[in-house]
Amino acid sequence: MTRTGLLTIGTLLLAWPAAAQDPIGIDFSRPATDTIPRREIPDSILSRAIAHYNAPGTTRVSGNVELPAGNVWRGRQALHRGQFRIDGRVEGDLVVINGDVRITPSGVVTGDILVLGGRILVDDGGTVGGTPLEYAIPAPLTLSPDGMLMRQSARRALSDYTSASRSFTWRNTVTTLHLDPGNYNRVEGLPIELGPSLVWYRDDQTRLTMDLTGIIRTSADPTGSRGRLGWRGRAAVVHGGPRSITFGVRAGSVIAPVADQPYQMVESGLGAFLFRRDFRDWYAMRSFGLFTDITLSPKLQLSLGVDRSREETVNAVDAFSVLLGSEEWRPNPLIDDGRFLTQSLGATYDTRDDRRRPTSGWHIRGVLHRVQSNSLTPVSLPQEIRPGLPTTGYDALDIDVDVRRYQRLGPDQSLHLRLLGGGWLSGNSLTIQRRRALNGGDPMAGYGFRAINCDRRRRPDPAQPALCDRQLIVQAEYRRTLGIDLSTRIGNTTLGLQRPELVLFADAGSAWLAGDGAGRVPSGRIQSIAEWRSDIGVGLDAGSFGIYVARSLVDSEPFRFGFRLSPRF
Amino acid sequence: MRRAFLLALLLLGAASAVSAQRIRVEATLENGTNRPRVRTINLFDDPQWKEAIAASYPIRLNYQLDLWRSRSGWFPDNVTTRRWAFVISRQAVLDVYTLTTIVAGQEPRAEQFSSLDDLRLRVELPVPISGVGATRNGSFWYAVKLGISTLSAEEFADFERYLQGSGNGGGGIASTLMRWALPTGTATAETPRFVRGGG
Repeated sequence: MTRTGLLTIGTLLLAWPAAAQDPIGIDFSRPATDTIPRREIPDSILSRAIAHYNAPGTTRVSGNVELPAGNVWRGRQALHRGQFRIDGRVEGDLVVINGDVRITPSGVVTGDILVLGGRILVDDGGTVGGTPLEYAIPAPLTLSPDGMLMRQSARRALSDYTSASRSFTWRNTVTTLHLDPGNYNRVEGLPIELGPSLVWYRDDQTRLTMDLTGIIRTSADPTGSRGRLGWRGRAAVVHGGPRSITFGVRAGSVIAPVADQPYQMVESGLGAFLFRRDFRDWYAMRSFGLFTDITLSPKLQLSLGVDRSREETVNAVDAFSVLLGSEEWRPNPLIDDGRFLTQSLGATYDTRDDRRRPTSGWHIRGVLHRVQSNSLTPVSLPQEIRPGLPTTGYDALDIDVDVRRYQRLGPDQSLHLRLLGGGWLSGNSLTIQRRRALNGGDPMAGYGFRAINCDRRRRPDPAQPALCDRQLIVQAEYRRTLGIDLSTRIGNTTLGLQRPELVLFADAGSAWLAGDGAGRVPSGRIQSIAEWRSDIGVGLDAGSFGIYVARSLVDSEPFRFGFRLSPRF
Repeated sequence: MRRAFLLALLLLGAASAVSAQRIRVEATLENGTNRPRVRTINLFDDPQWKEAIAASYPIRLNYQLDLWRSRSGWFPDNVTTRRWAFVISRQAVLDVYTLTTIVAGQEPRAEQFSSLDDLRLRVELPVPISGVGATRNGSFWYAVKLGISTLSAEEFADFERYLQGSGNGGGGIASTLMRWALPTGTATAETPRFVRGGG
């Protein structure tokens, strides 16, 4: 038998005891338990292992080692990469890095045993005098050229390809310096974000995190509506475990998007960069606040926040775009400038099987905002759109709701339903930055951008601001995986469609002005369904991207084609 | 026209040659017990993944096993869905391969192999799946779906947050475009139907 064959058998014999019953099987009948160590090795444990290994008096070995019966090793022992079979006696503590230890019936370890990236197997009769502790996940530790144990550099994450970061570790503190591109838009151009973040691990359960990010806006604003630099910061205490709680402070001077946010951020950024189509509106916000995130269970999370902010109008600038560079950017709308106190309460219930491409489960999210101001400079809007706002004593309540159900209908088909709504609930009318619209493209694929924006002026604002009080949209999708492979490979890159999903969909919805008066929907009601817009369409979703075509059912809109980088919902 | 026809034939030929090498998954039933077994085929014949492993990119094989119950005149009923994952990684300096089995609620299980051939033998063994059987009477079948990628769960989570525009600036547009160039693949299979009880 070859050496590798023996090693394989040896490895399997040393594997987790359950594996001895069925070394290769997957057994879902084994009860889940909370008593197993966390998959992630705590930083404090890594530090302990490094300190033990590098201590001057430690006896260090590597590879497969056997301590015969009758032999005694005294003092600190450490093994790096290998299997340690103990038939004899170890008088001291033992640390094994990315390896396993087996204590046979005649074996004795008088001290503690710490195994990272492996197993402790104690046969009947084997003795461990101290505390055994094991983590099966491979430890990110390696040997330096001088034989000292050190942390391995983390593998680069996907986002690192467009970012740069450098981490330093000192005791229980990890400091990271990062440089990232932000999201492209017509107010800042390409924001470049850089700064340090710090994580201090108090113990296995508790850590302190601090982030400070500086923002450099690559496009100058000749009107002076915003500065060239921005920043944001956040400090939080995180207490982990099955029910985790995070409490922290946040502050910043940023360019923030208004509440009406069609498309994913990346799609909006790509539209701006390539086609001079920025699907979001922006305002300058300087803020300071407190927040709490509570995980009641893996499926249910709550969030609370209180923020004081100064919000001001900013102007679109002559940012670069790849195509249509001779066109003017859509102006960035005016907002209601002022100082605000915003209290928010959010809840998320999520049972989806896959967050990126779900096929079953619920996703329910609701956020309630109470916005108050004693220093408000509202934009003058016609009475038929919005009654005048007070400059002091402003108080409004609004809500966002997103309810999704993903239902599998077979191995290759599923039905997805969504109810999306939001807007004014009570109090004063909403500020411009919190108003809504019915958007074409996303979610209404058969309509154009801000198909209903409630701008009833004789000469509508070319900025096309979202001016409605409320919005409500219902979406349905039937998805079926097609068993076709229209891909080929060039080098290691697969090009084409591999088992794409056929998507048949329908959308219906509206946005409206709420309250009393002509052309308004009474506060306690939704707009008559007879006045809703609706569309149907078909698409192919290749996973990384999807192409769609849709047509309005009630308006004489042309066929509209769409390209998405993520599922529609 | 003739050139276009020849080009189409060439592309079709290339595509079929590629699909012959592509990773596949096979689902079978154990005689008597109807316990499912899932087998992964061609992982190491596919140069895409072989080269990725050789270059020390961790490969994640995500399996989803569904038990379906037939319902006459209506969509089938998804009785259970179970997931697990294999992560294959290589320590280039030590030339050691690690296969980590990840099952929710259970500790990860790591196995090490000193050669690609040993790893291949292990990965291509049919894996018996326990604890997923039907508890009602009826006509059932298992469907298995395999997703394979070089991205870790954390990277998926990062990417998802990024797509949702969490505002942390993590990545930008270019990383989305780069994702298209990274290898991904899926494979599916179904077992034959089996009847429990009176059907």
